[in-house]
Amino acid sequence: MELQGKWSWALHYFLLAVFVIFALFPLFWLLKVSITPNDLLYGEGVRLWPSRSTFEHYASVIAHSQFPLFFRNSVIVAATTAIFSTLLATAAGYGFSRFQFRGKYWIVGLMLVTQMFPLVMIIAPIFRLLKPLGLTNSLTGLVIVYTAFNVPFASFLMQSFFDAIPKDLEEAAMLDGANRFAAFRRIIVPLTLPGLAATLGFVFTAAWSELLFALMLNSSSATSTFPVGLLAFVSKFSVDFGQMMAAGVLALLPVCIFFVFIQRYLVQGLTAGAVKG
Amino acid sequence: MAAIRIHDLCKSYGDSEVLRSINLDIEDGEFVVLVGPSGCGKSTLLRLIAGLEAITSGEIRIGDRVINDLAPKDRDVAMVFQSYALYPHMTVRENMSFSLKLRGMSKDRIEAAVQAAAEKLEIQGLMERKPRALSGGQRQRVAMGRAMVREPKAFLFDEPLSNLDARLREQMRYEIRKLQRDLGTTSIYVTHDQIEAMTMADRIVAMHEGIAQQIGTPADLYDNPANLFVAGFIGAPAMNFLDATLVPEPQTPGNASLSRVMVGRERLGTVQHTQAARQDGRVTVGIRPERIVVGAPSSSLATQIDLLEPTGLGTVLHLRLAGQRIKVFTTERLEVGVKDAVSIAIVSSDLLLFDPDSGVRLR
Repeated sequence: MELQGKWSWALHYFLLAVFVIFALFPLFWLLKVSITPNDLLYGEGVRLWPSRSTFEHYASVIAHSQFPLFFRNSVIVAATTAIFSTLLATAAGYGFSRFQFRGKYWIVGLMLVTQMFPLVMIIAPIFRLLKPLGLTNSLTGLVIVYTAFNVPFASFLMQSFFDAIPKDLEEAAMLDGANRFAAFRRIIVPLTLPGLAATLGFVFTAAWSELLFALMLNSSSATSTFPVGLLAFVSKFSVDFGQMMAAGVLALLPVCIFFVFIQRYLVQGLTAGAVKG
Repeated sequence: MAAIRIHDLCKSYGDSEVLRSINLDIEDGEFVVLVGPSGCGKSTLLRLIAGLEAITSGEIRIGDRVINDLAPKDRDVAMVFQSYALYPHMTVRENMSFSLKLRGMSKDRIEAAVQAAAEKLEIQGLMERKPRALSGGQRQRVAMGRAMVREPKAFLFDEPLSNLDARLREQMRYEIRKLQRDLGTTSIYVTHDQIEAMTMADRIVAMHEGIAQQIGTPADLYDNPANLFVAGFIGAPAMNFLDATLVPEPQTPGNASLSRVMVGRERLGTVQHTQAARQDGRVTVGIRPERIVVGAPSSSLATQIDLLEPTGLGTVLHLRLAGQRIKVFTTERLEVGVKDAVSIAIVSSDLLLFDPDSGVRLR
């Protein structure tokens, strides 16, 4: 019995370890290449850790490339998109969860349809739409496009969080003297914080790593985001892997910080919905 | 505090009618219980009064104000939910002061009101806890406290005890009733439990299929049910119903139109003939299990025991009378077993007659 428990424990952790290594290896490689000096990059063959390490790639990315500008652009676009999408998705998700209205079925259906076809198909039309409005080569244009693409899924996500909160709570608040909005703000929102955090995180990472539209809509480097910037390290005859990887590591930082910030709400999970007991 | 007047109230969802022409006058300070099986419309009626559902037609007044179109927050009623609906992210104190804060009451007055309610409910020790750290009974009290602090015109209770175990339910039943008497607040209480209805109500509204079948005091509904539904719903063990036939007695001078109530070949009793009965004399006879006497020596009916159910207080005997099942409740300690033959006696005046098709009471 005792032995069996130990074995199952060992198997458990072995499988977990395999999974974690598998998932983290690319990140490790990113880090490894970013600190490998150029002369060792091809010279040393495949090694887990270079014999000499350097931060020169980081220094040149920060000091001598446009990467800080791209980085700033990405932060602005991703953060703004995350905030707008979450606000819209919260309103829409609450509506879907709590109200019956004419056309609800069709609105939900159409929103689902938007998620069904590849975005490549609509690049040209979107470009044609945004160009005369002066929204190409602009961060605002990107925010609008990203928000439009993220709102449907984010709304469904928020709806599922609202569905988990009993209607009784709002009704109690409304009888206690709150109007619907006050009940929403003072009772429902505090209970949906994990959901809001999850939605914010989801939209932020989606906008942060988006390449296709950033590349097609914005051609000037002043409005490029960092995924586009990473491509700049690929030149006609060579790829500057060291700097590219260093930039990649730097690009991971905001997402990591963001998730550290919201993980408290994420792990708190959906226990907020458990009212009865 | 206020009287509540409901006039010709109807509610439908699309084509399905949930409430049909409800008329109900509730006096100031009265405790009215809406009782019925699930789906009878009792909770819907409560929600209409609370303003959580829109009225299809009819009128509701609280005090002298028609409240049909008022938002829930402006109706000045407090509700205790089946799930208690305590705000999970707030402490007990915050839960109880929420409504007063929304009203913009001063901190001191809120504190005083919450303190007074907490003392009354004996929950002073729980004030800084979150709902999840409370037991079912404690949550129930907090929910009561949240309703009380506002001093509303009326309390609405939506099956508030159905999540509690039997012993606690009995205790809370008593406490809610006592509290309501002390406060004198008009109350409407929804339950599917007829014992709760009988023990707590000043008046009961027995509901079935969206219709108020009968409105009256607990004793009224018990002794004089208006129809088969009320007769069968109120009382435990439930009333016996037997298929019977009215056979006119031969007319003799000074003995005007009497009828024998026959179940198979057995004569249950003799009643005044009623014009309302069907031509063929078929009726449904109702008799309460505790009105039947077991082991009566003469003029009695022969039955056989199918099953015995001791309840401690007494025994429920399941008998077979002329092929039909009949329950008898007795507090006597009987020395009998299954398959034994026993004789029972029924007093004619205890027989209630119903129309077998419409269920309407004939006598």
